[in-house]
Amino acid sequence: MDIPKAEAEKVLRGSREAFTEDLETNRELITKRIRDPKLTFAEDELGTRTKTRIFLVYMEDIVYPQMAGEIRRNLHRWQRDEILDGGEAQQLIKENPWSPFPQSQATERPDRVCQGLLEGRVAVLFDHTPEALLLPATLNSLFQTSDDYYRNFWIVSFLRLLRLIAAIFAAFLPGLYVADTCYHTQILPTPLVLAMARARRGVPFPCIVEVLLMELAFELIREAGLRMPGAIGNTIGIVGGLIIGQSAVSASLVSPMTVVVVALTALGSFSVPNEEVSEALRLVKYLILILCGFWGIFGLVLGAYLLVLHLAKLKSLHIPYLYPFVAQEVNGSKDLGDAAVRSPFAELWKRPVFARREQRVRMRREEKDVR
Amino acid sequence: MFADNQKISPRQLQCLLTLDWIGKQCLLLPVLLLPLGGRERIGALLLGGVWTALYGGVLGSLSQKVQGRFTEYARQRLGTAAAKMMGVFFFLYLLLNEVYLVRAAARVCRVFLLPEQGEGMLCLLFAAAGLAAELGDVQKRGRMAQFLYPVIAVALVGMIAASAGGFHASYLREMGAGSVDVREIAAYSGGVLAAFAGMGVILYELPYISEKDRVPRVFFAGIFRVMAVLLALAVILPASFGEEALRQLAWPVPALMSNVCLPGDFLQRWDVVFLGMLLFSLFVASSTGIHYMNRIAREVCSGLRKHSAYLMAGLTAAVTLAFGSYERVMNVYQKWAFCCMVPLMTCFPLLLWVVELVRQRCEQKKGVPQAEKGEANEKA
Repeated sequence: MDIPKAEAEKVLRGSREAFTEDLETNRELITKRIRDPKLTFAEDELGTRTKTRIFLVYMEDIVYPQMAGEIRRNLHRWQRDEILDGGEAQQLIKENPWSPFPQSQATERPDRVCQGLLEGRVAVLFDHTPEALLLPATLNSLFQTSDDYYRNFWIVSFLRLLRLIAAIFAAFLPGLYVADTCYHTQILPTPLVLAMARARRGVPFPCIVEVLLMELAFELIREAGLRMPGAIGNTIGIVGGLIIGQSAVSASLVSPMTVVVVALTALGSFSVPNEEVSEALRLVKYLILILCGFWGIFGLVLGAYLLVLHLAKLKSLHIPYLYPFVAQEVNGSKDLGDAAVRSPFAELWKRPVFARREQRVRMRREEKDVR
Repeated sequence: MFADNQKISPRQLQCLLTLDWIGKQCLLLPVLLLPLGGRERIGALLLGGVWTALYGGVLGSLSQKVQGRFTEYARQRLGTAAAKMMGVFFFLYLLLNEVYLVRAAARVCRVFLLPEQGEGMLCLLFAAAGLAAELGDVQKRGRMAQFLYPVIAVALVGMIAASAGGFHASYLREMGAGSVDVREIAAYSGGVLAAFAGMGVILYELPYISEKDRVPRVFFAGIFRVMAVLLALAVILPASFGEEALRQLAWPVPALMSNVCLPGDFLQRWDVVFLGMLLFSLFVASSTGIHYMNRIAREVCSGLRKHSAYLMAGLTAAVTLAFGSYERVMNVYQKWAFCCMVPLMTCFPLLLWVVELVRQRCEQKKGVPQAEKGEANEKA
């Protein structure tokens, strides 16, 4: 078997294997990790013409019986000619199709899928797709990586908090910068405000236009880098970023502070582990930016409030998207130990809310023989 | 699987209540109690807190008796006309409360954040924010409140604690020196109760709350938390500004926050951060007002079904703009909501509680001989 290395979800520790485009190989990648007869692969077909083979994978004794049935029903709700990739099916089974946020978790890592299966989630494997879908998905699960469980809980907790801060940067930093520069200059210490004012001297555009221009330029560089072949793509990213940033500052089109803000925003969006969440935050960023351009901090708070409202509305197979930050009491608040921060591994003895109630305990301590 | 039951949990209800109250009361009560001296203010808050807790207890006890919709329950106990009248009083109070809230929030935003922005536009935005939360199921509001609550509560309490650094010992002594008028305390404690009287509308929400037996505890916890914050403010405000300067302030709490200075000089104006957090709370309060107006309107007028939330938001915006300035709205709010609506609105739940007590007594009296008869039959 020629197993590729994971490219989109790189980790420091743990397996380097990724799914392939062959369904049977992907099945083997899971069965070699979970050697349990309760591991079930239910075969099915999607697409009236393509008849794409899929596997619904779950642990028969851990998963809620109606969950797999509901996913199957959702997949067959639409009779479509073709399902050429798992991404098409992923969009069809979204409970809120208008939301930019993913409501299932696409992953290329077999170990991530195995972790999900043992938590009581269902995976869907598609033929010709080097990714699996994990359902249900919550915002919390989309911020986790597989090596979060392979490393010390202190560093993992720190990294998880860092990812949350990165997500906040990705969505809110340009808006906050515009609000501060245009409306509330008195918030920051005077030397910093003076330095920012000096840096903006000679820039012909209003701050919001300046930030929008820079953000759009960055989006262009990102898109161009993505479409180019490997080595050239990287070069375009670096050269484009450096040259355009430097030239724009030299020509007084943008201030150096704007370049710093846009770069920090980009770093924030790259630090979010799930690409689809990162993309959604990229879109949210523009909405917040416009609101801040109109109403400063008021616009920022309004945008954050609307974002929370939207996330509070979302569900993935009846599980609130914001779980376990909301409704955590249904599993004795134990799931908060694996959320923004992670408890020591020995404390994670309970399965999350996805699993059947009678199957929630996944770890027991053997009594020591005193003699 | 996960309960998708269109109900909110007691914890979510508590977050909703606390967020709804804390922003509004931080703006309203310090202004309302300004005519009093420092110790009188604390006394009025404490006594008002006791009244509020008692009223909360009555509502909590009533919530255990109500089966199904509250309007139906009230109709069975008091008759159709009284049940409708109660709904109308609650609705009018909520409307006035929402108008006050939207106008006050818009004024605070204009004064402290956006001096060049028209208040009318800000009023519309607040009404729209309230409407946005109402579009969707009831669980959405509960989850939103539970998600926001820890962030906002920690930030607000932290900022209030940080503002205590501006204490002046002389102002504290001045606060302890004045005389105390008990009649004034009693009169103003009614104002405190009036500011919290809107909690009666929870009775209409009962079919959408899981574990109803925990509702009384939710009331007490919410009242206790908000009262603790208000009492802290009642000490910090005069101790930071002095009584004379405090009486000159239109918005004492945001003004207090502009004095906050934290080590490191990271930010120069912390009041903007405080106002940002306060805005979240005010958005939640606005959404709560529109939600309950919508709920009661649907209960009272059975014809109202689709798109009634838009109607409520539109009504709020129209009445707010029609009333004009904040001063006029405050005047109307105090006259009509506090003096007319609150007594009328609170007397109905109290009446229902008394009716329920009498019924219980009567049933007990009837029940004893029957039980005795039953025992005698068993012996025979």
